[in-house]
Amino acid sequence: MTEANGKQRPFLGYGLGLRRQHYNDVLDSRPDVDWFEIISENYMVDGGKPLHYLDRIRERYPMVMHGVSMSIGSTDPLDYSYLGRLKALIKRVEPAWFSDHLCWTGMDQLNLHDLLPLPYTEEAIEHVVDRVSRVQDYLGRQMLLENVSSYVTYSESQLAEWDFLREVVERADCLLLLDINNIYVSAFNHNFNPHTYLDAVPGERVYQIHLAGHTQEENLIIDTHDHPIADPVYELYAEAIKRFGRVSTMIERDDRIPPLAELMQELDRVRRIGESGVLNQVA
Amino acid sequence: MNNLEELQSQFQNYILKPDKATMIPWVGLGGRASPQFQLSVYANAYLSRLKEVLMNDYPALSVAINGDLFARLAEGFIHQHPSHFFSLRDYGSGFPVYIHGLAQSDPCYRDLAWLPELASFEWTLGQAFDAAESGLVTEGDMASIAAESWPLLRFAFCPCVYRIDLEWNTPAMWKALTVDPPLEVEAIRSGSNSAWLIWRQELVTRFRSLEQDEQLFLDALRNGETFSDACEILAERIGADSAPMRAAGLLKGWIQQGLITRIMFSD
Ligand SMILES: [Fe+2]
Repeated sequence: MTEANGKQRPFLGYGLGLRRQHYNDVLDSRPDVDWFEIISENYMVDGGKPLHYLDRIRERYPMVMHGVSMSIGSTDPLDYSYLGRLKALIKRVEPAWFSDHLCWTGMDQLNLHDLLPLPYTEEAIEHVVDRVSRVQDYLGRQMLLENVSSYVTYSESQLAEWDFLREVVERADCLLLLDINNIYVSAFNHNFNPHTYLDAVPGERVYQIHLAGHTQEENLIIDTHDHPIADPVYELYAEAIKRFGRVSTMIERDDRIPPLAELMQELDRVRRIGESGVLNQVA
Repeated sequence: MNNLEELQSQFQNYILKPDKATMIPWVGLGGRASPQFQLSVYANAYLSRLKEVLMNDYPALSVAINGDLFARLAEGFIHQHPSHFFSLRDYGSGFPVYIHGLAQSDPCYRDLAWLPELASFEWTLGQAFDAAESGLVTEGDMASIAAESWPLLRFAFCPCVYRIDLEWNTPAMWKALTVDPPLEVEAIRSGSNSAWLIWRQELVTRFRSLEQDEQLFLDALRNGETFSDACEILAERIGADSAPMRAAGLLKGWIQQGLITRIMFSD
């Protein structure tokens, strides 16, 4: 599998989101996790425990950075004080890459601390493409954009979500963090076939995959990250691997966080699917 | 205003004031759930996310008063204070001032006069928790200073050092409320203010009360007074004979506790 420019796509293996509940366990038991993803904003502090553990765990494991506040789709100007702090953290962590979401989080200098979907319009594509390019210039590297789950549709949307996503990443020449659970959640909420989504994704740009649990309600699924990964999401993951080949994959767990050992078991199942996809391809 | 800006403005207004929303023609009909329900998911998530942040930042406060009252306080704050911060870490910074204002004006809080102080105390603990690191002065550094340099020395303190004045038995309440399970504790107002120090030593956040002479000496040095001027202030309190020994003892203690980051020589 090659990157857009012909380079080999890096493969980190199978990882977990680093959570403070597991700091000591990670250092003491050195779990067989290939890499960790950190939430960038949690480490944009001046000192103390967060940075202490970050540095020690980074010495032992590869890392990637994942942000939640860039608000790449907002109509506010880009926040260069935020980007400056992000740049400093990138320098400290030297991550394999960094990502944020294809969404907006607020306007008029407010942060709603949520990943709000964009309308799938030409106007939004142009707006985001321009901003991604400026962020990539400022930080001197490509970024990964993640698809978010959504509960709302906009009447002005002209495109399907997958066409919108593809247009943005290709025109901005950025990379993709594909959240398989988010595809599953949005497919249910908005009545589309998740395989159609996967078919439209430019596979060579998918550098990372997120898997997570969700909460099923009567006519809506909410992306809560407080449950183990659901079976249909594993199935969709297998479909993704069939199409894209082996991709660095991790589990996001943000609430009702179980002991590390439990997440390791879940990660074993992920790994088996991730690797079997490769065997199938070779055979 | 272009379309995207208008859409974002409408959506944000809805999330901030969901009960004021009437027409929502900008929400599509394609989803499985109704437009109203789709939107309410975002408004509910907004409120519950920020409430949880306040709950985590103010663990003792949220245990000290009943859940309904805490929820009312939190929701009131959230409605008045949308976040301007890129990180949720800072969201709760205005909560103590908000509570202070309510305690002054709202009769419901007449019996909870200690509440603002507990809130400030918890917020300050959080500030010390992830304040910047800095190199610390050692006893060896102090020993190597020539006697004639001492009068004009100034001292820099770690960014994790906070000095607060408390009217209530807030630290004791905080301890009782944050053990698992929480202990019964009564708020007691002391006759006068007492001075407390909050700081972080290596990775552990600590707090302790200050004797009156220690407080005077510490405040003077933190205000940038020279060693000799601070000693004079100390001497006014405890007498010129005891002041030098006491000053040396206090400095030694602060160094051991990791409070002093730099000694500045005058030139
Ligand atoms: Fe995700």
